[in-house]
Amino acid sequence: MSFVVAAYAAIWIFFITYFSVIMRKTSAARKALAAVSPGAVPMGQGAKPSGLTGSSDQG
Amino acid sequence: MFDFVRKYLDLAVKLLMVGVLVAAPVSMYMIIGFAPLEAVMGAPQKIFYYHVPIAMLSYLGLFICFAGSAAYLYSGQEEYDSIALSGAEVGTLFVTLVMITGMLWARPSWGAYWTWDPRLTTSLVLWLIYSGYLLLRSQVEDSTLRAKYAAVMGIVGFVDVPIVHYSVQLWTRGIHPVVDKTGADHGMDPRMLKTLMACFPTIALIFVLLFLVRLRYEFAHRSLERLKAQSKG
Repeated sequence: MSFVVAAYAAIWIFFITYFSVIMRKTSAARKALAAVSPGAVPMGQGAKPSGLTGSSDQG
Repeated sequence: MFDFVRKYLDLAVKLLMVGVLVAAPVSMYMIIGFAPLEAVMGAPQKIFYYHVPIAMLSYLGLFICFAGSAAYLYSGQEEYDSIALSGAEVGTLFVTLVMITGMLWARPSWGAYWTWDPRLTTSLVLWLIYSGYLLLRSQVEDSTLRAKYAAVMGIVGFVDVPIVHYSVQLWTRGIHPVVDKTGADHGMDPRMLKTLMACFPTIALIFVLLFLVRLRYEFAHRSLERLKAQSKG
């Protein structure tokens, strides 16, 4: 019986962990996007979006 | 087409989450309380109800990677690369789970966690191929080159999927049983069959949910990368 418990525990731990990690990364990416896009810079126009911080904004 | 996908991704994820929250407890109840104990293997046989659907859906994940890779090489649209990556990552997760649950089932049934049976060996090769695919993606800096290399590997690597599936028939000296018989001769207790039929849609819902959340992340991540690149330029 312990093998069955271990197998189903492994399945649910993998599913929940993967789901949580991806949701957290999505949330972080969307927050960063929201911080970048208040200037409503259309993509491909070559204009600098406002709100970027960090080294990527230094150039 | 991708605008339509992006528009409804959030709604689809919410609906799938509700579906999983309903289906998962039902399938677990059927495994624990409804399916009978198998006469020879006893309790460890209950691993079968998630092991088989996870194995079938791992093929689907890797097929999505194959199709996305081919579409990327044909069209050059990076959304297809996102689809291929999402399929490969979820497919690899499922292959990992198939191997873990298989080993936990093998120990009480065969007396060993691992044997060099053709099905197990080809599955290990499959896991190594797609782990290599994910490793390759993390090692190439240039996004276009990365997508092209990965697409080639996603297409070539898929060759192992039919080999895994038909390994039981190709090498008859293996000990892994054939479990995909259908029709009247499946030889399964009706309660076992109903439990398996309840577990298939549960795992399918989980697969689609994980695939879509991964794809949604990839779209957001790439949009961010584009904006950062524009700000640098």
